[in-house]
Formats: sequence, C-alpha cells, structure tokens
Amino acid sequence: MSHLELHGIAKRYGSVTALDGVDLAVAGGTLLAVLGPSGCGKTTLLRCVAGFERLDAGEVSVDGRAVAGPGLHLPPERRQIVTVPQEGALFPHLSVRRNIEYGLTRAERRTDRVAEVLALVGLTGYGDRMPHHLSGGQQQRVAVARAMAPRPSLILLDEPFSALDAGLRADLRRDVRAALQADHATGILVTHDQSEALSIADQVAVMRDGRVLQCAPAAEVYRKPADPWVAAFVGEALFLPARSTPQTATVSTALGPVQVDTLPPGDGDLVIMARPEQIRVTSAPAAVSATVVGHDFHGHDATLSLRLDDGTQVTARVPGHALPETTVVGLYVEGVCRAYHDHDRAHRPNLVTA
Amino acid sequence: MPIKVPQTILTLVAGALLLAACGSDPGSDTGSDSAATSSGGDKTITVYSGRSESLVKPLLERFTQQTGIAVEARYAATAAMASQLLEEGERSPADVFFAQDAGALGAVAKKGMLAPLSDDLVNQVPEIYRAKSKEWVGVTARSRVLVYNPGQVTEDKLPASVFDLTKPEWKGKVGVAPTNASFQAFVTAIVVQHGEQKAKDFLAGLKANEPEIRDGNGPILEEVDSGKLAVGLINHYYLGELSKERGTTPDALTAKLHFFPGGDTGALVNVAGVGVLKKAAQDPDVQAFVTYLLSADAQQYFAEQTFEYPLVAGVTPPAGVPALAELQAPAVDLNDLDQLEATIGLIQESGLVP
Amino acid sequence: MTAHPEATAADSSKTMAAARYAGAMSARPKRPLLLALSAVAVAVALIPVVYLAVRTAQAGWAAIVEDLGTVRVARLAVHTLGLAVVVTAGCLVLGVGAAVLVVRTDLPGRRGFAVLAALPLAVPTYIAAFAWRSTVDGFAGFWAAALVLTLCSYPYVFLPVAAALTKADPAQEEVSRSLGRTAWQTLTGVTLRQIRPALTGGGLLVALYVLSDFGAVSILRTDTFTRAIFVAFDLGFDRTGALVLAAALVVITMLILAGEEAGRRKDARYAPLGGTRRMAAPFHLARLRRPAVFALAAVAALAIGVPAVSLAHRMLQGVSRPGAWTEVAAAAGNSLWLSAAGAAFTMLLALPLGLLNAKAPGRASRLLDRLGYLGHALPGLVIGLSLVSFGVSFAYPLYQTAWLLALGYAALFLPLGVAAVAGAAAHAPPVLDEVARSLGRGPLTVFRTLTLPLTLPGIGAGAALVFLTCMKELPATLLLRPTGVDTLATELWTNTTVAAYAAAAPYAALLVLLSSLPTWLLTAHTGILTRKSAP
Repeated sequence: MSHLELHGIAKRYGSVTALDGVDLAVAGGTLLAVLGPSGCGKTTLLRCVAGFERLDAGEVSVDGRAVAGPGLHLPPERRQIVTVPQEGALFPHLSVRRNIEYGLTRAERRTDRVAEVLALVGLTGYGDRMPHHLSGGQQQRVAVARAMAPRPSLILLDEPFSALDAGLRADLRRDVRAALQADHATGILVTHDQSEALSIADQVAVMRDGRVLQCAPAAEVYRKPADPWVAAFVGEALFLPARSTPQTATVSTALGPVQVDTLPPGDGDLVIMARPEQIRVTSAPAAVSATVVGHDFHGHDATLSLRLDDGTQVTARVPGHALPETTVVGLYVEGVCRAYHDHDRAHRPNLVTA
Repeated sequence: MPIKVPQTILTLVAGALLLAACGSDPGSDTGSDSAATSSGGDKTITVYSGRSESLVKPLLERFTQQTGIAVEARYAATAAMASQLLEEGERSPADVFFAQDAGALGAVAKKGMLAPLSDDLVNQVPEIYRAKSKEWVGVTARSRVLVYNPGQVTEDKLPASVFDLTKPEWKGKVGVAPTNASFQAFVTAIVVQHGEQKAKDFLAGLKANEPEIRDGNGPILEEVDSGKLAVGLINHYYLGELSKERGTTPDALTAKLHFFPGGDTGALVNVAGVGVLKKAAQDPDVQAFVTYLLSADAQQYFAEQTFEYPLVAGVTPPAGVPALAELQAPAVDLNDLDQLEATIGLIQESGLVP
Repeated sequence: MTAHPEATAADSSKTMAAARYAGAMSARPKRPLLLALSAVAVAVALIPVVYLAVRTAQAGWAAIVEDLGTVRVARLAVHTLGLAVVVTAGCLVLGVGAAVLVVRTDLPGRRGFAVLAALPLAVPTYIAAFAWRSTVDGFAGFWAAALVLTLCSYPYVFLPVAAALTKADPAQEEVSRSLGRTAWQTLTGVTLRQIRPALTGGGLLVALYVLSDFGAVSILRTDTFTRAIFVAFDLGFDRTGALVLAAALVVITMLILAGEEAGRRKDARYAPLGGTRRMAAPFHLARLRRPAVFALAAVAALAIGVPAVSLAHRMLQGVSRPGAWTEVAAAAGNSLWLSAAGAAFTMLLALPLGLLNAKAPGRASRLLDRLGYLGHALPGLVIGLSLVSFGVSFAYPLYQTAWLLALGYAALFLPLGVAAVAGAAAHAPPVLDEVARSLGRGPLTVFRTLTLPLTLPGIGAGAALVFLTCMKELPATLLLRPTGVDTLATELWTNTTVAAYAAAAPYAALLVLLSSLPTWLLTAHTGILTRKSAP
C-alpha cells in the first residue's frame, strides 16, 4: 500500500522531448492506467519510474521517499518497483517457481508466497512447468505473479495484454485486476487501448506528446474529458456546434436543446461533445427528425449513421436491431454533455465530427 | 535426451573456459622464466634453433647427458628465428643462435647482437667456414647441387655449369625454390663471384626458361625422384633425409646428385653455424655448448643423421657423397654473403617470387 | 539460435522485444561499463596493428611509397582480392548449397551430411594443400589454392546459414510459393534474402580468412600478400618490407569491411528474423535425390577424403616414426591447453564486445566491432612478430609464456568470438535484464543468474570455434609459444621440414581428430542435428 508521486518529470532524447513536465499521483492499493497513442511518452514514463532511464528534470517519490530527482537516481534494483513487460519476459531457463522466486529473499522463498501468488493468478500447481510449456496468457499470468511475489511498492504493467487475443485478454485483465486488488498492490498500467484502460483502472491518465492531459477516475475521463482530443481518444465522440441560451446549463444545437455540465470560461463559439449512446432514436415524432443513411452492426449493438434535415451527420448507438436505410426517425440527446470552445478542436481535423 | 547433450557440453565448455580465464595464470605451470636462464653458470642455457627439432633435439639430449647442462630450445625456421632475434634485440632470452645458414647469422651479427667467439673454438674450423669477426662459426657444411633423374637426363647430358640451366634445352625442366635461404645465398654468391649483372642475367634467363617453382628443396627432390621433374637445384643433404624417410640409403633412390665442377657458383658450399649472444659471452655453459657442437661426438652425429659435412678434422664424412675436400667449390667468402639486400631486390625483380 | 523447443519461447519474446526496442528510441541503454570493457578488449586485440602502424611509419614515407607503388604490389593486390572473391563465392555456393540440402530437403542421411559438411573446419589448410599437392601432379597456382581454400573454409558459411535456415520463418516462403513462384525462385528471392545476415557474416569470415591464410598459398604457390610477406621475411629477414606489405593488407581489409558495411546498411530494411515453432515443409528432391547425395559426398571426399588418404599413404610409405608416444601425448596435451587458454582469453575479450553489439547497438559498438576484425586478416607471422616486439619491450614477464600466445590468438580470432557472443546475447534480450533489475537484483547478479546461463551455449559454440582455430594455428604459435613447448601443429611442421612425413602423419591425424569434437559441437549448436526428419 504505497503511493507514488511524480513531479515535473521531463526526459529528452537529443532534440526530441519524450516527457514534458509530467505530474501524477497514484494512491496506495490502486491501479492507474496511462493511456495514450503510440509515441506519446507513456512507455518512457514507465521506464523513468522503473529507473531504466535517468530523468532530465522532476522527481519520483514512493511513500514520500524520493527514488529519482535532481542529483538522485536509485538503480532499478533498489526502488522496489517491478515491471511486467508486454511479452511477459519470463526467464526461459527457469521453472515457473524459480521465476517467481527470483525477486524473493532466501527467507521469503521458504514461505508459501509462491503458492499464494500462483493461486492469485489462477495457476495453482503450475510451479514446476517451464515457461515454454505455457500458453501466452499463462506466461503473462506468471509474469504478474512474479512481479507481485516480493510485494513491491509498485507494479508497472507495460501493455501486458496487447499480445493476446481478445477473449483471453478480457479474462486475464479481470483476473489480474482481482489479483492486484487482493494483494493490495499499487500499479501503473500503460496501454493504448481505451476500453482496457477504462475497464481496469481506478484512475486513468491520458497522455499526448509527453504531457498528461487529464488524470481522473475512468468514468470522469469518459464523461468529462478535459478537452476535445481526450474526448475523441477515449471513445467515439460527436461534436456539434452549439449556442448558449439564457439558461446556464442548456445550450441549443441542431439536435435541439442539450444539457451541459458547465460552460467553458471566456467567449467564443461553442461546441458540445456527445457520446453516440447519448443520441436516442425514437420512432415517435420528435423535435428533430433524421434519415438513416447507414449502419454498422456490432452484435451487441449497432451504430446508425443519420442525416439531419439540415444535412448534419450524426452517429447513434442503438441496441442490435438494424433500421433500414431511408427510415425517418426522431432524435434527442439524453443526459449531460460536455461543452468546449470550438477553437479548442480546430487543430484536430481528423476527429469524429458532426 | 540426446538433444541436450551438445548444448550441455557447450555450456560446460564455456563455463570452464571463463573460469580458466578469470582464474589462474595459464602459463604458470609451463611458462619458462627465460630471464633466469641468461645468467652465467646456472647449468641452463637457451638455444634458438633455426634447425629442425627432430635433428637437433637428440643432440641436445646427448649434450645434457654429458654435461648436466639443461637446454631450453626454441625451434622455428631460420628466417623467422632471425626475425624474432632482431625483434627482441638486447632483451632476447636467447644465449645461442643455431642457424641453418650463414646469411641469418650474418644478419644478426650485423646488428651487433653476437659476441666474438674464443680463438680456440673458431680455430677448429677452416677459416673459410667461419666469420672473420669470429661472431659465428660454421658447424657443418653443405654443397649446392643439381639433383637429376637419370631416367630423364643421362649423366653425359648434365650441365657443366649452373649457368647452362638458362639454355633452351632446360626449358620447363628445372625445379627451383627461390624463397629458400640456400637459393638466395647462391644468388648472392653469383654477385660476389661474377658481379651483379651476371646474377641479373642468370635470374632473367632462369625465369624465361619457365622453371618449376617450389616452396622448398624437399618437394623438388621428391618430384625429381618420382620423375615429375628432370632436374632441380637443392642442397646435397636432402637426398639423405629422403632416403632416411624411405628407410633406404641415398644410393637406392632414383634421384642422383650432380656436383658442378671447376669452382662453379652452382657448387657453392655454405654452412650451418652457431653464434653466441653478447649477454651470454661469458657463460661457461654456453661455451660448453659451442664446444660440444664442434666435438667429434656432435660432428659425427651430423654426418650420420643429417648427411652434412663435418667441419672439424678427423670425423668420418657422410656416406654416398664426395668428401668435402674433393668438392670443387667456388672461391666465395661466406663472410661476403651477408650482402643480402641487393640479392633480394634481384630475386624480386626477376619475378621468381611474389 | 536453435530449433530446440525450449528456446522458442525465448526466441519469440526476443523478437517482440527487438521490434519494440527498434521502434522506440526511448530504450537505448548506453551501458558505459560494457563500452569501456569493449574498448579495452579492442585495444588489447589491436596491439599488433598499432605495432604495425608504428613500424611501418618508422620505415619512412619514401620507403613505403617506394615499396608499395610497384607493379608487384599491384599484382599482389589483384591476386589477393581475386582469391578472396573467388573463394568467398565458392564458399557461398558450397555452404548455402549444402545447408539448403541438409536443412530444407528430404535428403537421406542428412544428419551425417551435416557433420561431414562442417568437418573440413578441422582440417588445416596446410595439411589440405600438402595432401592435394602430393596427390595431383602439378597441383599449384591460383585455382589450386582457390579450390583448397574453398574446401577448407566453406563450413564458415555452411554453419551460420544452416542455423539461420533452421529457424527462418517458413511463412514467407509459403506465401511466395502460393503466389506462383517456383521453389528455386522462392529460394533465391525469399529464403536467401531472409537469411542474408548469416550469408554476409559467413562470407566476411571467409574473405578475411583468405587474406590471412598462409598454408595454402605458400604450398600451392599463389602470389598473395600473405605469401609475399612470408617470403620477405625469408629473403634476408626483410622485416620492414614485410610489414609494409602487411600494412597494405590492413588497408585491403578495411576496404572489404567497408564494402560489407555498405551492404549491411541495405539490409537494414529487412525485418529481423523471428523464432518459429513451425518447421518448413521439406522440399522433395525426387529425381534430384541421387545427384544431391552424390554432390555432397563428392565435396566431403575432396575436402576430407583427399587429406585423409594422403596422410595414410604418407604414413605407410615412410619409415620415420614420431618419438615415444609420450611425446605425441605431450604435444596433444599442449595443443589442448594452449588452445583452451587462447579460446578462454579470446572469449573473455569477446564477451563485452559481443554483449555491447547485441545490447547497445550504435555507432560506437559498430566501430569497435569492425576494429576487432583487423587482426583477423593479418598473417599469424605478423601478429607473432609484433607481439614478440611488444612482449620484449613492454611485457617482459609475459614474454614466451602462454599469456602472450593467448593474446596472439585473441588478436587473430577475436571476431569469431564476438560474432558468437552477439548471437548468443539474443537469447538474453535487454527486457529480461530490466525485469530482473526491477525485481531487486543488481547488475552482477543479473549477469550471473540470467545473462550467463542463457548465453553460455552460444558462447560455448564460439569458444569451440576459436579453440579449434587455435589448434590449427602455426606461425604465431611458433613465435610466441613458451620455449620448449611443442604442439601438434609445431610437431607437424618440424617433421615435414625434414621430409619425415610418416612421423608427421600421426600428429596431423591427431590434430584433425581432436578438432573434430569441437566441430561436432558447432554443428550440433546450429540445431541441424536435432531438427525433426522429414515427415
């Protein structure tokens, strides 16, 4: 149950800035997901925390004790911060048991800690197997068990599920989270997969270009993204131009009046962000009507492409029944949306827009 | 599992080697402390031998038996040994240089590395077979000869002079070993006896006659004996060596020797000799060794085992060849054979060597 | 890399790690300690080259220009490069041909042929050349030397190519075949491109070996730099002339290395090889079965049969016999322990350099690696003499001890060791180190518990190769060995110089025999022998 704090972490490679003043805090016993596109600096962040890279500026502290900072660079082996790399990286010449024992002291090896962590990851009885006799998912479970075994201050998971197929990934994700929680371990998970980040983590930090744009609980990141880019990165987003109305919590859009949590300070054209599941489709007449122009079937649900009478295109997530094209439906927006100044998204032309 | 065996061996090999490398001194058990052998009268001497180990070793054993003086011997080709001595300079561990030919002794003497020998030693050997400066003394003598296959060349067709070999009738029939020190001494002798132009003309004529180039005298003799070559320029004692290998006498071989008559340069008599390095000049053990080489015992050994001519009076000459005194050797002073550089240039220019 | 099942897990993880590390510039460990140790290793191995530079400079520019600017040197350069090109091409054809037949077809007796194809490594060129010359009338000259050198050195190509073919991913080949390419087009267009690093690495070793070889060119009278260098020493002990020629040889070596470097850059665009759990389906030789068996048997007969028969013939023909069996045993013992010392020292120097190459690739490691090759192309005589000079002047206590000889072997054979270590290091990718460090283990513990156990088989294979090359080495051994210590190679030399061929034969036979064991280990290490037979 240790907590980790990062202050103003910076790391440059030649003229390239990989980390540009990162501040983060991870509370003891929780899991933080660092989410970002490739090249955003998230792996560098992990490597700096682990001690594989030296900081150019800033400080890393665990339970208030600095492990890296100006003039200080504890080597990785003295940080009590353990990594689980993407490919597991089990030691191929050691059995599962010996792999897990690797980080334990002699005294700890005599306890039943190995059996304990094996049970936590659901591999009881696998101690004498060699790594090459395990499936990819099992190898990854062992890697997690190996990291948990010495009860480190912090466990760093570097895209640990990305090499696995989808079904396996969900199971493993759930089990790993449960194991970490059962062991009260503190962890950071790096991923570029937003659903993974949102589903597993207590907190999600979204990174881009070496900066943390937002760090908040998963639901908050999804519902109240700090800016349009984050909004689009963590899930599908609709952006609609909006005008303020006399009521402070309501704006007017092509989809009619929409509730927003707050308005951005200052002047400028407004835009609101809605999730496709907030766009509700009714067969009953509504304030706004639209024509179905296409749909994508996903099994559990479907997304409809709709054209409003004024030509605006929107996407709605609906339960798995498809509506034929040219069907005319009514639309309204459910729940609270997020409002931004339009110029905040002007430089992101590739975002999903209305 | 058979699969694992080589892998395990390789691991063990690598482990053992690394241990060996990190651990003990690999030279401790056999590495000789050469410096210690150079001090006087410690019943140990170091001999650098340009003569073959199989010839010299039995002799050294007899010497040690008779005198109780241990001999540390290094063996290499005379040229390489001379190069090594010249490279070592004053710090050479060697006490004695026992060389295959006078030229190498001359080259080392020229660098001032050899000490003059005492008069009573050098006086045992005829004046023409020792250095004027007394820095080396001949131990045995050998004559240049033309070896021929009687099946291909009858005795009456044999050339009277080595210079006749440039005549058209010898085209493609002569085996020579131009990289051999004996050949080189012979060319030097032409320069000394007849001047540089004659040597140049001879080499050019020889080259134009498309000689069969070999890398040593041994192969020439073998090919003449088997009839692959008609004639070849070699030293006389090679016949004895080959007959010894075949388990017969020189007379029983097909190949016969032709000693050029009338003081022809082709019948040059050269010596194998010995010199003492300066630092060992006063060492009684070294004196004893040189004395032994000139003793009847050693001289007899050379005559019987190497078929060379003994240089000390009263020793039975080798069988099957004319006596040294009967040879009509050219009037060439061996001391003049150290003018090598010009000769090398001539041989290189001739294109006989790379 | 091997096809052993236990290695595949490591292989695939390595591939992913490699891809990951290649992509992210974030992860480029600098490893100052490794760099420093590597620099020391290269400095030690370059002692002879430094000596050569100093001595050549002493000769004065006028002399150098005069010595080098001649038709003779131009001719030597043409012959030397020509021989290197012809032999390298020959070795590539033989080595790749044998490797493809042994690894990728349903050739009968493929394990036996694999061992036979590697065995010429145990035959020194001077024995092979001598055997050929005494077997075939008038066997001499450029093409004779090219034949003997090719037969003796094609295993340098065969072994790495066979290993690469064993582990190469068959998926690309299958795609090629399914796109309508013939087996032959697929082999040349896809497979050989896949294993190009193995090809160029093996070819480079052959080319440099040809530059340094003395045995074949002197016995078969081919005018190369090496022969000219030996002749210059022989003719009036002309050390300066010889050293100037050796310096020219170093320049040629640099040219070859630069050429290989340029070729390697082009290679960079190929994706790194991955491990595979799947074997390529063997190609059915059908009508080609007999010709293939015949071809491999013929190569083996020429490379091993001719020397063996010739040695036996010499032994039966002569009456000379080696001294007591104790002498033979002593020589064998000396060969073994001196070569072991040489291999150990070479691998000790190769270890940091190979690890640096594998774990911190970059300009510095590349440069150090290339520098290590310089000594490999120098004749043993030059290395030997330079270390004589070095030992006498700067390291007298080491002079004429096994230490200095081991140093000579290291200067000559360092690249063989470095290549092996770098290959072995792939089994211990940096990500394993990092995990171990994060689990609280210090660098030394990580090295002891992970890097060493994972890389030892590969390092052992390198040691075996260096060991057997040391066994065969003659000129440097003669100059640097402890006084009074005879080895199999020196005894062989000593007896042949006095025509005591029968006495020499047991030494030669023992030399080849003792070299066969490391050769077998090397063959086994490629994974060819353990690969499942054609279904």
